[in-house]
Amino acid sequence: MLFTDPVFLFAFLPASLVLYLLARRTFGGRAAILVLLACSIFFYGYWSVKYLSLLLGQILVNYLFARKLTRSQSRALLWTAIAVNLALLGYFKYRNFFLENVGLLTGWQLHLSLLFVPLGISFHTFQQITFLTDVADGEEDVPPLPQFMLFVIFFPQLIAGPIVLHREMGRQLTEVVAGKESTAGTFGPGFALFCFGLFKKVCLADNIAPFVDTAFQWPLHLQFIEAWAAAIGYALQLFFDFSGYSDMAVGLGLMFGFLLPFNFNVPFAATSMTEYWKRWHITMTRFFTMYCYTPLALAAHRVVDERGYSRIRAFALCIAVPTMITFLASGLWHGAGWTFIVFGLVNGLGLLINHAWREAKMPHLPRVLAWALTMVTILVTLVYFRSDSLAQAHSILRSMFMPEHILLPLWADALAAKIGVSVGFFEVFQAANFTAHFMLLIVLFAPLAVLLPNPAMKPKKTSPSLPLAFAVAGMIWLTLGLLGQPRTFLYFQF
Amino acid sequence: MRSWFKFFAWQLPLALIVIELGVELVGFGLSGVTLHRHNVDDLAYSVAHDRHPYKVVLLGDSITHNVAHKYRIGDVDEVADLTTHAFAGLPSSLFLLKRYLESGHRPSHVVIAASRDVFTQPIDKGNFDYYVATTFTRPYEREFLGKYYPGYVDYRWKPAALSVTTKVGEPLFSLLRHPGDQIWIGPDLPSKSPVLDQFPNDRIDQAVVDQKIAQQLSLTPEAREILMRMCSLSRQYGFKLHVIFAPLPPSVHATLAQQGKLTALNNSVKQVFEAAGADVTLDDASDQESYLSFDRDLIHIKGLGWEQKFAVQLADYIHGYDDGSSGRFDGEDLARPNVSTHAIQSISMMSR
Repeated sequence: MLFTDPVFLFAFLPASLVLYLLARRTFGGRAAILVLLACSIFFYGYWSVKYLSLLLGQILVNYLFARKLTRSQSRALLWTAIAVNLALLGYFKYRNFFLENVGLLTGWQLHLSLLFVPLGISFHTFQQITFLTDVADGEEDVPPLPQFMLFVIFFPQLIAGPIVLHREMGRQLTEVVAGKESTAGTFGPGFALFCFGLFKKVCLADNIAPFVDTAFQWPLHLQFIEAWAAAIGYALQLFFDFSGYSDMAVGLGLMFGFLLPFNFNVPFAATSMTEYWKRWHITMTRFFTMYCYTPLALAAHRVVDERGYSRIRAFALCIAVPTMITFLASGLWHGAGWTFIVFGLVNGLGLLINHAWREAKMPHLPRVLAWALTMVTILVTLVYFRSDSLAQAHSILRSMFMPEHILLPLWADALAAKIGVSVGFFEVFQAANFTAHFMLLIVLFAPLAVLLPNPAMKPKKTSPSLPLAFAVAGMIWLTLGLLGQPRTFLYFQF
Repeated sequence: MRSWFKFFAWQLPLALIVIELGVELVGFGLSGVTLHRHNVDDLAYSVAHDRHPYKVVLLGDSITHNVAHKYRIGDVDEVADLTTHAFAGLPSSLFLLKRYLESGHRPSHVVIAASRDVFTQPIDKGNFDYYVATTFTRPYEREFLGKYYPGYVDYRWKPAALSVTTKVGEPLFSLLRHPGDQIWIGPDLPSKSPVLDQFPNDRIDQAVVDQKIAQQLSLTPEAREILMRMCSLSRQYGFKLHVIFAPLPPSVHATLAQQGKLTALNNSVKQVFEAAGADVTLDDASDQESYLSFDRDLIHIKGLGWEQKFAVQLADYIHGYDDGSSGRFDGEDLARPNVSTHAIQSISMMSR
C-alpha cells in the first residue's frame, strides 16, 4: 500500500485516524497506542504477511537485547546485537551481490535464487540499531514493548524513513500514554504538509519520470544534450519523489500528533558537498555521522594525538579515512551493486576535496561557481545512482563530459544555423514535442527544487488561512486528477 | 485550534468548490475547441475535413508514419496517410478509417502497414488517455473502448478540476495551433535507388534482441475485433483491405520464422479474415527486401536511405493492387484550401 494508493488515501488513512482518535478519547492513551500499532502492523502485512512475521521477530529479538543491555551495558552484547541486525540486512540485501562477485572472482558457477528484499529493511534495521546503541550508552531507557514496537513500525516512517531516534519518538509516545499529547494543534499542519508531499510526488516527480526513464533506457545512444537532460531530470525526479515521501511521512505523523524529523532542507541550493549532505536525506546523514563517522574520527584523533602525526597524515587519518568509509557504507546501504558503491565513493571524494580545500585555507570560490561545481558533482553521483550498471553510467557520463561532437536534433535545424552548431540524428530527442515537454518540465521544476523552502522544517508554524485553503485545494484537485497510475516511490527499494 | 476548525469547516471546502466551479466554467467555455495536441488529434480532425478523393488509405504505426511523413507514397494525391503510432494503436486506425468513410470518402483500397507489435501487444496504458480516450469520443468509439479497455472512462464526465490538463490546458494550447484541414502528404519523392546509410558506430543491444525474439506473437482480442470490424467496413463501403507487416532486422526475422511464430501469426490473421468472409492480402515487407538499419529498439527503420527504400516498397505494393478503380468523395464538396506546404511542414514537424 503506497501513500498514493487510493486504498491508503480513502480507506486506510481515514479509518486508522478515526480508530486512533476514538480509542484515545474513549479508552485513553494506552489503547490508542495499541490501535496505532495494530494499524501499522496491518499496513505492513497488507504488503506481505510473510515478511511481517520477520519484522515482528526482529523487533522482539531487539527488544530482548535492549532489556539485557540495560542491565549489563556490555559492549560485546551490543556488538552481537548489531551483528545480528546487520546479518539479517546482509542476508536479504547483499547475499546475492556478494556471491555473484565471489563467483566472478573464482569462476564458480553459482545458481542464485532471487531474493525478495523486505520493504524498508534498511530503514527499520538502522532505527533499531540506533536504539540499541543508545540503550547500551545509557542514554535511553527501554520502554514497554508496545511503545517500542510502535517506535519501529509506526507506518508513516516504516518503509522509507525518516530514520527516527528513540529520543525523538519515545517521549512523545510516553506523553500519549499519559494522556498529555493531543492532535488538536497538529492535525491541520499535518494535513497541509501531507497534501504538499502528495503533490510533489504525483504531480512533479511522476510527471518527469517517463522522460527520465526513456533517456536512461538508451545510454549508448544519448547525445551531449540528452545526457545532461537525463541527469538533471533524474536529480529533479529523485528529489521530488523522496522529499515528497518525507513530507507525507512528517505530515502523517503530525496528523496523529507526532513530530517526526524532516529529511530535506533545499539540498539543491547547497554550495558545497558538505552543505549538500547536511541538506539531503538529513536523518540518514545523521545516522552515519553519529554511528559511523564520529566514532571513527574520534578514534583516529586519539591515535594522531598520541603519535603526533604531521598535518597531512592527520588529515588523512582523521578526515579522509572516516569520510571514505562512511560514504562507502552509505553507498552500500542504498543498494547492493557496484553503481551504489561508486556513488558513495564519488560523494566521499567530493567531500574530501571540500575538506582539503578548507584545510589548505584556499580562497572562497564565488558563490555561483561553488554552486555549479557542487551540482555537477551531485549529477555525476546521481548518474551512478540511477544506472543499472557501471557501463551504463560511464556511457552517459562520456556523453556528458567527452562528447564526440555537440549537435542539435534535426528538427532544430533553424536554431542550429543561427548559433552555428551542426545538426544530427537524435534517437531520444528525435521527436520535437517529447523534447519540448521534457525541457519545459526541467525549466519549471528546477527553480522549485532550488528555491522552495521545505515546510516540513517548521510544520507547526503553518497557520490556517484562506490562501492556504486555496493552495491546499488546488494541490488536492491536481493530485486527484493524476492519481490514476501511481508509480512506486524510488526510495522503497533501499 | 479554533482557526483550524474554521479552516476545515468552511475555508477548505469553499476553496475546493470555488476551484472546481472556476475550472468547470473555463472548461465549459473551451469545450467546443477541437484538440490539436498531436498528430492523432490532427488526423481525427482532417479526415473529416479533407475532401480530396484519395484512392488508397494508408493506416499503420510509427514505422510507416516516419516514412510517409517524409516521403510521398504513390502518385500525387493517391494515398491518404492516416498512419499514427503504437501509443494510439490499432483502435486509432479503426476510428480514423471509420470517420474518414463516414465523411463521404470511398477509397478503393485500405492498407494497414505496421509492425507486428500493434497486433500482438496491448496498448500502453500510460498514454491511452492522451492518444486514444480523449481524442476519440464518438458513440461508436466509446462503445468499442468501453468494451475492450477496462478502466476506460469518458473524460467528458469527469469533474473539470480533476482533468484540468485535458479540459483547460490542452484546449488553450490547441487554440494556438491549427494544422489545417488537409491530410498531411510527405513532401519529398523517395529515390528509387537511395543511398543506404551506414552507421558503423551503432551497437546492437543484445537485451533488445533477446526481448524481441522471446516476445509472444499472438493476436490480442482487441486486434482481432478491430480486424473483424475493418472487414465489415470493407463490405459496407466496398474497398479492399491489405495488411503489410513492417520490416524486421534479418536476424530477428529469421529466428522468429524458425520458431514458427511468424507463420502462426499469419495464420491467426488469415483465420480472422476468413471468418469475416473478406478477401484480404497479407504481405511481409521483409520477405521481398532486406533492411539492415534500425533504431536502438530494433523496430524503427533508421536512416533516410532505408526509409526511402521502404517508401518505394510501399508504393510498389500499392501499385500492385491497382485494378483500375479510383477513389471517390461523395460528401459535401469544398474547394481544397491552398495551404502553404512550408507552413504545414513546420507545424507537422513540431507535432511529431
